[in-house]
Amino acid sequence: MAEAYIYDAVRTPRGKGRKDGKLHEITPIQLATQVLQAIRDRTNIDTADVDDVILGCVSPVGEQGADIARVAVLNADYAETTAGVQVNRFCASGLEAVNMAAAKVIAGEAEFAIGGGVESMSRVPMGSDGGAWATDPAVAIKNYFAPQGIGADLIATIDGFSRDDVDAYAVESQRRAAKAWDEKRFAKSIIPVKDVIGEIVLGHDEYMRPQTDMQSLASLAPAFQALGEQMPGFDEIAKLRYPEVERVNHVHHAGNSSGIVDGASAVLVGNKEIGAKYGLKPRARIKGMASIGSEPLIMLTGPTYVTQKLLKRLGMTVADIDLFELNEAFASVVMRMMKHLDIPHEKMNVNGGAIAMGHPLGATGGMILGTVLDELERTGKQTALVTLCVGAGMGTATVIERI
Amino acid sequence: MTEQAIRQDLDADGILLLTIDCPGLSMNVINEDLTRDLIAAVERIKTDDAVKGAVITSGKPSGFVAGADLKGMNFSGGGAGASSGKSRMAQLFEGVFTLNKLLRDMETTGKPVASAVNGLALGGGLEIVLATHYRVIADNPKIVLGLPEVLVGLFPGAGGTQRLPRLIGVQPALMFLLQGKNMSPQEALGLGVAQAVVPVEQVVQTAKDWVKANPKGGVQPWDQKSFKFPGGVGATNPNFVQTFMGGTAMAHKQTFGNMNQVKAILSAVYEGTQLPMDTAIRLESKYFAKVVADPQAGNMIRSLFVSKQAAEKGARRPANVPPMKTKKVGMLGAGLMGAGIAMVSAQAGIEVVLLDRDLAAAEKGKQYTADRLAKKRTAPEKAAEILGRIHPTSDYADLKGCDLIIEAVFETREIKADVTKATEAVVGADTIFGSNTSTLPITGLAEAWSKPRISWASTSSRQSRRCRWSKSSSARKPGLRQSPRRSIMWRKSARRRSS
Repeated sequence: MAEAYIYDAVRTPRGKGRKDGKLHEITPIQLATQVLQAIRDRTNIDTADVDDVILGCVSPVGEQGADIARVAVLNADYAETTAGVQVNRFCASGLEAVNMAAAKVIAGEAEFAIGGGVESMSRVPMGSDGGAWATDPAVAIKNYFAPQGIGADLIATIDGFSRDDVDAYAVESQRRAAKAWDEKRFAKSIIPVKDVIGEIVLGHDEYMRPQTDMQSLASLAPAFQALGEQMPGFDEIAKLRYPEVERVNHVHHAGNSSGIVDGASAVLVGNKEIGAKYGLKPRARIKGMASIGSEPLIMLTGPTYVTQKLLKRLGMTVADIDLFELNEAFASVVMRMMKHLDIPHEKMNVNGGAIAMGHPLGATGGMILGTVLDELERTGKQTALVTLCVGAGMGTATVIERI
Repeated sequence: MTEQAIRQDLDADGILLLTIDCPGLSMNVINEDLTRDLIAAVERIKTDDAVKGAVITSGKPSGFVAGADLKGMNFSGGGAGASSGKSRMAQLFEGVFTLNKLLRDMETTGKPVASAVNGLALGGGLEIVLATHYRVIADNPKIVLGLPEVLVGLFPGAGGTQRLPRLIGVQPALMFLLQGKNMSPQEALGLGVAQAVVPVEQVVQTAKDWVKANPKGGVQPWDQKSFKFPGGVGATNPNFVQTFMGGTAMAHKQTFGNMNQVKAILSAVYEGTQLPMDTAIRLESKYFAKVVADPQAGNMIRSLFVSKQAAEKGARRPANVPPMKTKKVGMLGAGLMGAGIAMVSAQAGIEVVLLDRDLAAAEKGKQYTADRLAKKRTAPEKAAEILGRIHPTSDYADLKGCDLIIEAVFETREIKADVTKATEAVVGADTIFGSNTSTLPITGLAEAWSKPRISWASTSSRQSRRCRWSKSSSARKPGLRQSPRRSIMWRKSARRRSS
């Protein structure tokens, strides 16, 4: 079987996912188009050699509907023969897209394949696609549905993370992200987003608040307390499934949860021969990938389990990984993985994460894969594991190593 | 059973007045007679050219229709397909679909049908009303309209889960369907459940006037092309999604997922409101068949309706025993339970002797009431009056004159036996004695009383809520019923004989 190599990885900066966000005027198809064009223009490949473009998108309705991947291929002036498919693995969609691209290369189905994702959360709000999971009463009751914030707070409760603990994590994420931007660590991969007249509308992550400290976070009210304790009272559902929990400790808020933002990412994956054809040097090899399911109410414990599953299959241990990148959906998610797998904070999300920079749902997986690849190259390190917690209890992970 | 339940009177305008008057009953209920006559009436509306429209009313001053005859309900699946080789579920479906289909036929004859509701309309009674094209209710605030089936383990299975949301919107409809709460005529008018509220003597004429004036009025809103679902519907409609995400969680937490009919209501409304009416009512009946196929529904009807009504009428009360009003209760043990019973008793105007091992413990039990009343901001004079009825003591002699003793002391046989004997010595063996035992069988405890005899039992609802809701499902087979008797009282047989 072929090996899958990463030849390039790009991402847009993340704009605030609100009506006053810099990327709000940019349609999701434009975001996707611009990262695909960047991949093509940076590598000078003939897009006829790109067999498939796989884009993650979590709310694939409205202007993100109707297979945005294929439409982006056409809109980016790729070869007509390049196919496109949109996938949804909730928050890990972008990473899943890269994993599927790699699988296609490994299986020999594709020479080049692009994985990535797009989400304009300001234009197509979270939850726009409905779904049986939360809405169909029979399904919701059977599966003890509760929103993910309840799961994040439940993790904090069970693992004993206090409000100060999660806030301290958030402050550190902001500090690391600010330092990374100051030192231009992301410069190689950020594709400034342009408007219809070709002017740059956003060149940096707009969501960051580098001045964040414990005092400023302390003033924020817990975001899921009302939902959990009053209407409709999801804490009671959580306690039905976790009867050992007497009370859910609501510690998460806007400041220690991932930001709602707009953005897109793309990662070019290919086999050895196709890279050689264009004289491209592989930046990393995709060493392995995995997905897993775990209990859906607490929802966000998947990263730990998928990491164990993948490392076991690869015959590796936590110590073999130089850098970990786990999407900061909520502070407790990352803290839980560090605690349960004994990962030092110095190896985890070294350049900050979604708490500081935001989490454009479908795009994030491709973004943080690029972030950690940049960091491996900057520090001369070898191996990284990228993972995300995923809706309904899943987890997806990828291990990459530099050549 | 061939007596007429619905009278038919065709007037000069061609309006067929259908008067429901179930023979031999004080209140109209949906039974075989009524169903048979309604089938005939709908057939006549549909086929008789002389009939231009119809008005349904009640011949009973007690009200319109009180719902299905729960006592006469037969869920064994003996419908039309009983001997057709169909599955039990298919037979059950056919059985429960009969009335549902009948009401659908009534609203789709093309001729206008109005209802003239003179009094209460509950359950199937309101469902008949909902299936008419024009609904006139008597202007009396005491009239209750509602779909209370959920309270006895069932749900509205004659179109109620489909017509109510289509009339008033999914969210308001779910409130009535899931909570079984009633609405007044004025509320019904405000919600759009009724189109007119008039004095009771005018309901029939108002209904007839509408039928006469609206020969083309026999089409329900949901059968018209221009129909817009109030509040919106569909799995990508934000209101709809929010309603179900929140409503489902509320129902889940309140029932701990143990109530079949609650889940069925949610699903019937969620799925059914996204379907055309003919498919929607079939779906409703399928969920109804699922609910009645499970013993839970029958058990709930038995416990919460049939047996409850009987108990409220004193069915098991010994004959020739005059009512006895408790004036002074002796509360043994001033712990959390004892203190609580002392408080509710005192609030009910009963004197309480609150006894514990030492006075300090008894005083502490009384303080509980003081604290609770203060927290509830009870007026000081009212609080003083209530507290004045609680007499803390450690002296058994103070129990003299109590007509009811309740024991809530430590859960060991020895301690309970000691206090039982000490109490009997003061109040005598003819006094009613109740135990708050949770794990120790009452008959064994009663042996400490010189004239033991279990007289009546009641369960306190102090056990955790989780337990409370699960009882109905754990009680599927009467022989296996394990719900703990938590507060059981006994008294001597001699007392009964003597009175």
